[in-house]
Amino acid sequence: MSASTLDVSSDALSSPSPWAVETHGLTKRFGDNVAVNDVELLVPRGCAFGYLGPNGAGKTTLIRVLLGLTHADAGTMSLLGVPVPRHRPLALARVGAIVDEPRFHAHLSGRENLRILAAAREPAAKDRIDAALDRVGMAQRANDRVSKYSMGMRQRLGVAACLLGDPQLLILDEPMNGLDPAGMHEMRDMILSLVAEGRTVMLSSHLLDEVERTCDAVAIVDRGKVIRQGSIAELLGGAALHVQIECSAPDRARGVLSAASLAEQIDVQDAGLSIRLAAGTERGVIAEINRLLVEDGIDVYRLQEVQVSLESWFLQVTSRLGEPT
Amino acid sequence: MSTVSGGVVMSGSSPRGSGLARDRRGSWLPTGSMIATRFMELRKRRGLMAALIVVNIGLPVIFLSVRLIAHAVAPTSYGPAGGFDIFSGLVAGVMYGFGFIVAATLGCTAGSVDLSEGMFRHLVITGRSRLALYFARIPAGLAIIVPLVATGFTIVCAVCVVAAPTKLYNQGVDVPVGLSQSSFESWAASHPKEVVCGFPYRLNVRVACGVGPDGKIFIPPGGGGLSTISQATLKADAVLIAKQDYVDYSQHFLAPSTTLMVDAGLWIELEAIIGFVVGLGLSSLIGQRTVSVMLMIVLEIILTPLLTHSVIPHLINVQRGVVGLAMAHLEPGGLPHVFAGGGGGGGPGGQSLLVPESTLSAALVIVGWLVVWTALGAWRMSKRDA
Repeated sequence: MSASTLDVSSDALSSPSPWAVETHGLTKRFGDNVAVNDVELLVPRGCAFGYLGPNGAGKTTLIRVLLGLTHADAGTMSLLGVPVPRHRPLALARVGAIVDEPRFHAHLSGRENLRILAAAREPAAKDRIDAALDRVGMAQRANDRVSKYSMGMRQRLGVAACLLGDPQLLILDEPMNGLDPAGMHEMRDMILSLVAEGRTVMLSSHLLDEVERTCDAVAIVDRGKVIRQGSIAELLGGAALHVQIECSAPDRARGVLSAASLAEQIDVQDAGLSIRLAAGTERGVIAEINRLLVEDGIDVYRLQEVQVSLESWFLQVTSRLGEPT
Repeated sequence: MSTVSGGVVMSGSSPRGSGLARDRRGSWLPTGSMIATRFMELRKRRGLMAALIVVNIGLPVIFLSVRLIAHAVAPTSYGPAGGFDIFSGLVAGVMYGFGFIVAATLGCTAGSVDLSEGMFRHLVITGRSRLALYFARIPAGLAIIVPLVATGFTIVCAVCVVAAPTKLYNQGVDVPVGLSQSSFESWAASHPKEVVCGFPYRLNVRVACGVGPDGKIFIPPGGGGLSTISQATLKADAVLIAKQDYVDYSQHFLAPSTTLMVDAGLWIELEAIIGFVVGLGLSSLIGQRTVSVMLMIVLEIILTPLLTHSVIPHLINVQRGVVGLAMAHLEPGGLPHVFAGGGGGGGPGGQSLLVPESTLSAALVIVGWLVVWTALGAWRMSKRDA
C-alpha cells in the first residue's frame, strides 16, 4: 500500500471477511501483567455483540489494541476484514469508537468538536455532522459549549462522533455510563437501529441486563482471556437449569430426589426445594421430578423452571461471585 | 476457539467504497481543513488569546499611549512617544522576550491539550496519520502567533516613526543627528561642558564632573581650584570623550530606519516561531503543558542569560548550542540591548559581551533547534499510547 493513499487494489483486502472483528493470539502485556492474553475473538458482521468481563479483565485494553491506540505484543487482528495495524487507516475509515469516557475540548461547542473530528476523516464526513447530531438528539444543544454538557450528553456526542465516518463497525466502551434510564433506553434503541441498518456494534459493558436486551452475541473475558463466546441463546442453553419447588415435606422430598440422582444440587428452603440440574438436561426430567414426589405422597404446590439470566451465568463462568462487575 | 453462529447480517458497503480511494488519511501531510479546525480550536481559547494579545499588542499600545498623552500634555517634561530609543527599547526589551514566552505557551498548549482533554484518542480512531495530526498544529499555531507579533510590531513602528523626536537627545544632551566622527568631535569641542558632564564613556579623562550647590561643577585634575582648569584641557577632554562615545552615538537616530524595522520585525518573528515550535515539540514529548511552559520560561529567563555571557572553556560548544545565544548573535545591529550583546554590541565601545559564535553557526543552531524539536514531538506523537 502506498504510504500516503488508501490503496484499494491491495490483494490483502480483496476478499471480504464475514467477521467485523477477528483476532488470533492477540496479546498485550504491561510489564508482568498480561492484560490481553492470547485472545481469539470473532465478531460477526451486522449484529450487536457484547464484550463482557469483570473490572480489570482487559476489555478496554483489547479495544485500545484493536483501534491502534496502543500496540499489541503478539497476535494478528483485522477490522472489517482489513488487517491492522498494517492497513490501519483503511480499516479505521469505516470504524467509529468510544473508548472509556468520551471527552472533548470543553471550550468548544459540540458541533465544533465534531468539525475537528470530521476534518481528520474523509471530506464527506463534514456533511454528516448535522445528521449525526440529529440522530443522537443533540441538534438543539449542538452550539453549546461542551463544558455545559452532562455526562449523558457527552456520551451522545461521542456516538455522534462515531457516526461521522458512516461506520460499518462501531465499538462502544461502556456506552450506558452516565445515562439515566430514559437515556439508556434511547441508547439501546439507537444501537438496535444501527444494527438494523446492517452495521455491527461491539459494545463492552458491565450492565449485563442491558447487554442481554441489546446484543445477539457475547464474549466473556476474564483475566485477559476470552473464556466463552457465542450467541446469548446458545450460551445460556449451556448453563445449568434451576427449578424451584414448593411442596409439603421438603426434607423428605430431598431424600426422594437424591435417591433418584436426577439433580446436581438440592437445597432445602422454607417452603420447598431449590434444585440445580446439569446443563443440557431434558425438560422431561422436570416432569419426572414431579412424578416421583407425587408418587411418594408429597403434595406439590408449585414447580417452576427458573430462567438463567446472563448475569447469573456470567458470575458462574467468571467464578467471581461476590466481586463487583 | 468457539465461533459465533446466527444473527449474521452482512453490511452492504465496504471500507473500500464511498470515495475512500481518494482518501489520503495515511499521508503525513495535514489537510487544509485539519489546519483550519486546529486554528479554530486554538483561537477559541479565550484566556490564552487574551494573554497573547495583551503581551504582543496591549503592552506596547499602553506604553506608547501613555507617552503620547504625557508628551501632548507636558512636552517639556515628557519626551516624544516615539523615536529610535523607544523603538529599540520596546522591541529588544519587551517584544523579544515576552513574545518568545507567549509563543512558547501557545506551542505548549497546542502540543498537549489533545492529550489532556481526551481528543487525541478520538483523532487517532479516525485513522488519520498521527504525523499529520502533529504537523497540522504547526501552521495553525503560526497563523495565530505570526500575525499577532506583526500587528504589535507594526503599531510600535508606526508610533516610533510618526512621533519621533526632532532632535537627538543623547545621554541628556541635545546633539545634532548624523554627524561623522570628526564632526562629532568638533561639536564636542564646542560644547565641552555638556559632553564632559553628559556622555557616559570617559576613560583617561582628566576633568571630572560632579554635583555642587549650584548644580553640576567641574572637578579639576589634582584637586585644585576651578581656576586651574584651562579651556584647552576641557576641550581636549571633551574630544577624547567624544571619540569613546562615537560608536554609541552613531547607533542613535531620531527614528528607526526602514531597514532596521524590517530586520527587527523578522528577528522577533523568528524568535516567536522558535518559541512556538520548541514549545510544541517539548510539550508533545512530555505530554504536559504546565511543566513545558515552566521549562521554556527557565530557558528564556535563566539559562539563556547565564550561558550567553560567561565563557566556560570546556563547555563553550554547548553554550554555542543555546538557541538564545544564536538569536542574540542575529540581532539587528541597531538593537544593542538584548542580553547586553547582539549584533551591535552592548558593551563599551560597541564590544559584544556574548560568547563568540559565527553567524553561520548561529543560523545552523536555530535550524537545528527547529528540526530536532519538531522531530522529537512528531516521534513521540506517533509512538504514544492514546
